[in-house]
Amino acid sequence: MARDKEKMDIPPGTPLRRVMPIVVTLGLAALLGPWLLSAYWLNTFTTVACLALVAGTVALLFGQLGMVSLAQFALAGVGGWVCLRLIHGFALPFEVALLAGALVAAVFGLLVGLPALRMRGLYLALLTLMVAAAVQVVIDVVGFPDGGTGFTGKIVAGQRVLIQRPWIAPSDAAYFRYVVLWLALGLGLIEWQRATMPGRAWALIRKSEAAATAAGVSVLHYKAWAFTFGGFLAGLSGGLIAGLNGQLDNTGFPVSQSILLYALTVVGGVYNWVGVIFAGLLVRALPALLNDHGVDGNLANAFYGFALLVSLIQGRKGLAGQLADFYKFVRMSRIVEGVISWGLISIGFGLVFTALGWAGFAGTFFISLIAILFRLVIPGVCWLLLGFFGKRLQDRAEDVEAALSLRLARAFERQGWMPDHRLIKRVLNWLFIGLFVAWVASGVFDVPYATALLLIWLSLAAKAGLEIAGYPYLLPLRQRIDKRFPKPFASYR
Amino acid sequence: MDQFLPFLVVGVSVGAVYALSGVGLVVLYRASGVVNFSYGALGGLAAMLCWQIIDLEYADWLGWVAGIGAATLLSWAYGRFIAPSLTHQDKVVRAMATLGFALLIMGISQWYWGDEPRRLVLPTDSGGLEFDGRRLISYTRLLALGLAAGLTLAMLWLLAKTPLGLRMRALQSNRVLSALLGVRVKRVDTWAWVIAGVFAGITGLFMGNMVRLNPIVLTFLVIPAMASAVVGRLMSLPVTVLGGLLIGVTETLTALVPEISRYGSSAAFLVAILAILWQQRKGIGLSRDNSHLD
Repeated sequence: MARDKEKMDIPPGTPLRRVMPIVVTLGLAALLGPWLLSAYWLNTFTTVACLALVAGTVALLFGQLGMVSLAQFALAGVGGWVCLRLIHGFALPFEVALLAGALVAAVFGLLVGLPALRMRGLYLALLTLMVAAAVQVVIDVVGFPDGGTGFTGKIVAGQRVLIQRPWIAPSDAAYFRYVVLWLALGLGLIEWQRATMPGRAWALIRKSEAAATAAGVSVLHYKAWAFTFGGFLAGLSGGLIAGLNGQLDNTGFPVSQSILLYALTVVGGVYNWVGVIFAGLLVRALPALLNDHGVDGNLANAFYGFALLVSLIQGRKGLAGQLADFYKFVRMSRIVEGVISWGLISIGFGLVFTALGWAGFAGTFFISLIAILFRLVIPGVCWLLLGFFGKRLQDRAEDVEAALSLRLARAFERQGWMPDHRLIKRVLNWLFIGLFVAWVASGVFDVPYATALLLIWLSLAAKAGLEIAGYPYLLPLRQRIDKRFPKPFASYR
Repeated sequence: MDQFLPFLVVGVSVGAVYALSGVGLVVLYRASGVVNFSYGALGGLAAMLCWQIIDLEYADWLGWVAGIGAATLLSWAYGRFIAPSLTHQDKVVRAMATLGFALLIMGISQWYWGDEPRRLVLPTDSGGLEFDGRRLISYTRLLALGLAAGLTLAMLWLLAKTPLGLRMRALQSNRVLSALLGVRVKRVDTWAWVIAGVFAGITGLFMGNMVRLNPIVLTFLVIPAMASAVVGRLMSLPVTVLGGLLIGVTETLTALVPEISRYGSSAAFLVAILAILWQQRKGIGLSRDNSHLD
């Protein structure tokens, strides 16, 4: 892809443009989620959304300012506590209590952050670790309110009282949408600030505090604001978790979870909102998936530790960062074409499989869709995973594959067939996507592994067929779209 | 006074183990600039391995050697192969990398050994100093106190009087200049990690005996150890020891006051938070390399 010298690089988008993808993606997720997921997975993904919000604050502090805060999850516990206490004690509406909890957590966040203004990053990490540990002990002793009187609001003898869901979102499905909307709001606000003055101030502070002060940027205010806002969103998330089950567990906010959340936010990617969603998925959805397949959760923890090590050694961009690297030069026409064709293929196969009685429509549709996501959004997914183990390994593997492909292509030419220089890559990708996504799908939906595998490979074949057949007709259309929307993601880090 | 004494004894001995861990952390930090979050995890592994070997009816001393040896080996491996890839990054990142290592070891230990209640019994548990016909302090706790004092003095001697210690202090002052002067950075670093590993193994065995033999609990006992290291400003070994003892004593003495007894385990964190705030009480100024406010 040669760079088009006549077109200027698009500057980092206007705030609205940068927030749009978040709103659109999460809006779609909110819409489709309850329809595609079973009850158990719906609740899991609601928790994922709450955790993603907390991870967002961790990413804000670490990615924008380089400050490690291991206390964010504890602040969520604080917010949840306040929310529960207010609802039990004063029968406030859910949203009011939620925001009040968030405000209290914001104040706590500010208190934790104030010493940070004078502190080297390492001491801040240790301080926040101590705060998280102290909060864990306090929660263990005081417990979460469950309907009793007194300051702590704990019932001594008798039935625990659960809080009601907000009146606009009583059912599980509605609550999922409610939480995802709050997530979109929180992440959108963070992204908005990144695109405007606070973001620039944070970037300058990160680069050099002395320069920031010299330029007239108040280091104190912007750092304090980051902590306050981070605390606010964390407290919000705590209240949302409380609303999910109607109560909070004493053991629900341990230090280990704080540490794990930080670790997985780094693995997911701190510079990007997509990384934050990955973090939520890794903390909650992946262990649930592994449980389904009988893998011990502790091995997952061990793997996460390893993943954190690798991420930090390789430069902290995380999964989302590696994705953004691939994504930078993708063209709008490919996206539009991909969405349309995959939508058609998924719906088509969904109908066919339902008619044949092999699997439910929702399951087939979702599996087909996930296969797209992998192929469209993560080109060369096996190479991406190899890159996890080191740039050198990835490069060497690519060299070997290129050499083999060349030999194969020459062999094809000698036979008189059309050579495909990326045949091996494609085949490996197909194999991998098929096996992996089928494994995920057979755990999440009740679709048999073989059926899922067949579905995925048929979908990929259909897509390839569509591409080859439609190429001459679609080329002018592609060029027009690309001219209208050049390099949409060039500014992503 | 009578009711204080048992608590005091327990507090001082647990505090001594915290102090010992703190000393190991501080020595490693002084030599390599890394705050080692995996300290507790290595200790936990040492304790579990020791228990496993004793459980398999092998000799006791084999268990201790294997446990301490495993901790030392893993620590050496980290320092030799993983830490060098990170030296160009800042201190926070290097500390977080050890966190990853801790999760890795903790995950594997917890997966293999799980949550069953176990006890690590050391032969010194059975005897003790008697006073007035009552047991005052068991030999294990006495040993912990003795080791805390002895190993701290040994480390002080190492840093002050030996060539290795001199090189470690040189590395702490200025890594690049030391390398230019001919200090073999990787070798000195590796020795620091080996020493840290030995400390982790020893303290792990003691914690496993005195606190609880559970991989997760032992991993997170690194937090009180870090608290005592923080009290010593990550620099001074004697103050670290004092910090550890203070934390241990505070933890157990809170049991005497009914209102706050249940908050006893937060003593470490409170002491650390107060210490951090006290140490950072001076005003904001420019750091030495003019890059940030310190």
